[in-house]
Amino acid sequence: MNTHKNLQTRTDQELIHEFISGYQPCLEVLIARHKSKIYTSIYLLVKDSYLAEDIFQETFIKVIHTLQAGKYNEEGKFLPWVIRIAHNLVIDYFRKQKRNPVITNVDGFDIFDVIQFYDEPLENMMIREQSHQDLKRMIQLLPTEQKEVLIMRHYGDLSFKEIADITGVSINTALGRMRYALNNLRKMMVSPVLVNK
Amino acid sequence: MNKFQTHQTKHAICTNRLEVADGHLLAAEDQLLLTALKPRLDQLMREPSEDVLCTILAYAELL
Repeated sequence: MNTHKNLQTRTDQELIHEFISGYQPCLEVLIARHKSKIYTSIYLLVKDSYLAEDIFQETFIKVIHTLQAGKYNEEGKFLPWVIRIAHNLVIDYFRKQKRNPVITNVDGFDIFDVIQFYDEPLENMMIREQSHQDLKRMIQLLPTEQKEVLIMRHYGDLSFKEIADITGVSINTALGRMRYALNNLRKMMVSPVLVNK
Repeated sequence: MNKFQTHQTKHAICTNRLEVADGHLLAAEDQLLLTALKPRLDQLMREPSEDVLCTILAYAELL
C-alpha cells in the first residue's frame, strides 16, 4: 500500500508512472519536490509573484495534460522538461506583452522576505536581507539571455546541452552567455554604485 | 604532482551538485564563482502559494 512517506522515496519516473495509472497523490509529491526551483525560475524572469504563480499553474496544467495523454518522453528528466514548458510560457507571455503593452504594477513586496528569518537578531537579518536584495538586483540587471542560462543552470540543474535545446541556440552560445553572465556579475559585485546602493 | 592536482580538481567538480556533468566546459574561475554564488542563489528560492498548489491538484482530480 502506498503511503505519503513511501512516495517520498520514489524516483520521478516511478511517481509519473503511478500518476498516469490514476494515483493522484504522486502528482502532489512531484510538485512538492520541484515547486521551488520551477517557481523561482519563472519568478526571476517575470519579476512579479502573481504573474509567476499564473505561469506556474499553467505550466502544471500542461504537464498534467501531457502525462495523461501518454505523451511524456520517458528518456528525458522530469525537471528539465517542466522548466522547458515554463520557459516557453514565459516567452509566450513576453511576446504577447510586446504586441499589447500594458502598464502593470510589479509587486516589490513579499511577506516571506520579512518573516523568513524572524528568529535571527535584527542586525543579521538586515545584512542577510541586503545581500539577498543585492544579488536579486544584479540578476535582474543581466540581459534576458544571460539571466535565462544562469537560472536554468542553477535552479533547473540543466546541462548546457539542455539549455541550448530549450533556448534554441548552440551549446557554445549557451556557454558564452553563461560566461558573460558571470563576468557581468563579477563587475557588478565590485561596482560601488551597486554594492552601496 | 600536476596529475594529482588535476584529479583533485575533477573530483571536486564531479561531487558538486551545482556542476552537472558538463561543468568542466566552464573556465575554472567561472566554476568557482558559481560555487561561491550557490548559497546566495539558494536564498533567492521562493515558493508558490498554497492556493496555486491546491488549484493544480483540484484540476488534476477533475480530469
